[in-house]
Amino acid sequence: MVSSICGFRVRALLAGILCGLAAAVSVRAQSGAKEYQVKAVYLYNFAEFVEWPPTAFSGQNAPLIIGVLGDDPFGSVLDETVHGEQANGRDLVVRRYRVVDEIAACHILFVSRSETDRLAPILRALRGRSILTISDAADFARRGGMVRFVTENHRIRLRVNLDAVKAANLTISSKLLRTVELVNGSDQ
Amino acid sequence: MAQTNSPMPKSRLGRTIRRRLIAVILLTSVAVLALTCVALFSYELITARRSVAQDLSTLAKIIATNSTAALAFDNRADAQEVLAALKAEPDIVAAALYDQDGKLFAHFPANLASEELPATPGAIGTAYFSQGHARTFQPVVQGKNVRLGTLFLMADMAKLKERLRVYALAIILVMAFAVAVAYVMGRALQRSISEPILALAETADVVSHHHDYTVRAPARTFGELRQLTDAFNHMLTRIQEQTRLLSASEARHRLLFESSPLPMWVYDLETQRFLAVNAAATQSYGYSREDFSHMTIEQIRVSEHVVALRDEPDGAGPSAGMRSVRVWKHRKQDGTIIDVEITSHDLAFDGRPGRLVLANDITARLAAEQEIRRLNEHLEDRIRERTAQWELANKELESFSYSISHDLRAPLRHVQGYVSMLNRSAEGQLSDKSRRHLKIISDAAMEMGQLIDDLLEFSRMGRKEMTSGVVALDQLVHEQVERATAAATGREVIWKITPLPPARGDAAMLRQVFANLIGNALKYSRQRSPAVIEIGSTDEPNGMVTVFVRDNGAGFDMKFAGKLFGVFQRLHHSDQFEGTGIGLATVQRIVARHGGRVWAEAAVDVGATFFLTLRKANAPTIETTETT
Repeated sequence: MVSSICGFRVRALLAGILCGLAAAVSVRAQSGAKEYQVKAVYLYNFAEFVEWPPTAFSGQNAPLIIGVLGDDPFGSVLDETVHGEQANGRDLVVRRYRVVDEIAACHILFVSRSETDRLAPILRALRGRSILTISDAADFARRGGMVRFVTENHRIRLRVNLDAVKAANLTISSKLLRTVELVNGSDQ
Repeated sequence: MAQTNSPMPKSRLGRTIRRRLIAVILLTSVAVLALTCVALFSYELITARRSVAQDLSTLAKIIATNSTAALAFDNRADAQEVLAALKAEPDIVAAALYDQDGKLFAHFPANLASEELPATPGAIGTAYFSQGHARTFQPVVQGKNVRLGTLFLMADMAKLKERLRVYALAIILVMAFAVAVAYVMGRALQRSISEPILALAETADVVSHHHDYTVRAPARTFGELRQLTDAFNHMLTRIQEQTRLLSASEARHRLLFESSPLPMWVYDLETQRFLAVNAAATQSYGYSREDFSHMTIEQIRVSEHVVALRDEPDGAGPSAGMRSVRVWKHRKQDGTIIDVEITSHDLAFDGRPGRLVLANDITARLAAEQEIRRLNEHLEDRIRERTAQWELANKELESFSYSISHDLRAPLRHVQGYVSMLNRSAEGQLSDKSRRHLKIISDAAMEMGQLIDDLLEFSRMGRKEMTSGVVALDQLVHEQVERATAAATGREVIWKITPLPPARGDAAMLRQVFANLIGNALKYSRQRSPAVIEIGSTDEPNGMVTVFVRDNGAGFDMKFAGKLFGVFQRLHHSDQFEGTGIGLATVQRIVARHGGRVWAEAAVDVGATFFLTLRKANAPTIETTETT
């Protein structure tokens, strides 16, 4: 009986400590979290403004998969943003990949900054596949990526490498294109 | 002249009815057009607004669709650019984009102060109109259900207003044209209604001002107006006929009035002026019609009567009907005063209270009447005087004859008494001659006594009270016949007696009458064998009966018939037929007292018939005049 009483107290104490820790983490990561919150929404928005070839989906009701390659900067934000949403009648699913080889079916791929050094092989590996590649890594669009998030004056701007998009057999809505900065990227 | 009295001259009536008809047509047309135009305009307004709202919503949808990326990727410049495209739409005066949180994201035109825009997006819906602008809020949605923000558009209504202004102008022009057409058509069409009415009015005008009932309204139309025209014409025919009858009747009455042999006139009861006089009046009074027309009734009245008439209680009253006949004095033109018998009758003459007067000049008649009255009075005086004289003389005669008769009887009785005594005492001593003389004396005395008795009887008959009753003549006659037959034994007499009706009178007196007549008949037929004596009667019309007694005796000469009933008058010598000559006088007196008459018809040696009239018993009694 004594042990059970002690066990309850210990658990309550642990819960209090965890709560305090969580609060401390969230305060520290606020500006970064806000940024990725917007980026998560943008990822989601891309699902609406980009058209994939029918072959990109395994079936009529196949989900649209948003993948994150490398270290996940979104935490739970991306899942929360996408959760329960649909795009063009398709469910949205978030997948996380550590290496490019794990990527099977994927439609929007966010390449984390952690992969900056491995960009060339990654992009090479994805060539020919209808996957919209997005990243906030420096010179991502110029280096053969499709869309790069650029932060200017606390605003997130888009830089699009239209040649890469076209090469992936994707169509970006002209409405979206009006809002972006187009760059030419050299393929290696 | 009559035209000026007309309350509505024909031309004005024409103008009025034409104007009214045109006005009705125009007003109806204008009302219909106005309502139609209002309906059209309202419809146009509603349609135009709906169209504006539709256009605005469509435009809003386009802009909203174009704005999705700008909102989704938070690109204000791009949003601004999308909105700037609205420059091509001159109606759009303001536009704004609000983000997901309702914060103003971008607006148009760029220089617009943000205060002029709604601070937060309003309710989503169709365009609404306020303050001369159309406004709408349109959701900006990406995909199926991702609400990215809200678009606000505000459009100017100037174009709509301009469109409606053009529309209104067109309506006004169409209406003006339609009214003009309606006026022209109305002018043409109203004739079919107004012309028959004007024709009627014209006819009515002629009828009322010229009293010409021979005109007829022309019947040129159909339907109710034709009916009206026909009814009007029919009415005119009736009036014409009645006017003709009336004037004929008036002419007859005028003729009666004019041709009356007695003076007649009508005068105004209020002004006393003569209103009409007839020919007899002008002749009788010596004034011409012209004179009469300027005169009052008082000018022919003698002044004292004028005053009397004014005071007459019913003189000025409206009492209609025949008034009693009165006698007045009138003065003729030459100043002669005449007596007139006035019969008057109050009447309305030409709408005035008048009196019809019939004047009968009775001056001559009154004079004659007065003369007759004067003569009558004179005559009556004389009659009264003579009657008194005659009555006195008669009385004296009566009393004289009575006293004589009475006084004569005493000495006569002495004569008879002493003759009788002498006869008895000296009968044996007297010679035959003496005895004969005595007999003559005795017979003469007897005759004288008889004469005196008859005279007394006759005299009494005049004074005797007379009773009146029903007398059975049959019975009375039979009694007398029996008595006479008894006295005439040895004679052959044939009696022819027919039944007699009962008569009214004094039985004793009538008995004496028949005793006399039957006695006479027997007496004067004594030389006949057989003697035939007829007694009968014939009815007279006035309740009388004539009884006759006829014999076949000596008769008499009719030239002496006048003497037959006089006292002591005899047509035969007493040697032939004894008698005193008083019997028939008595008969006449009795019959006269019964109100009857007695007369005789005869021929010498043929016979005589005596007639007498008596009142029948069943006839009404008539007072008889008693003759003394």
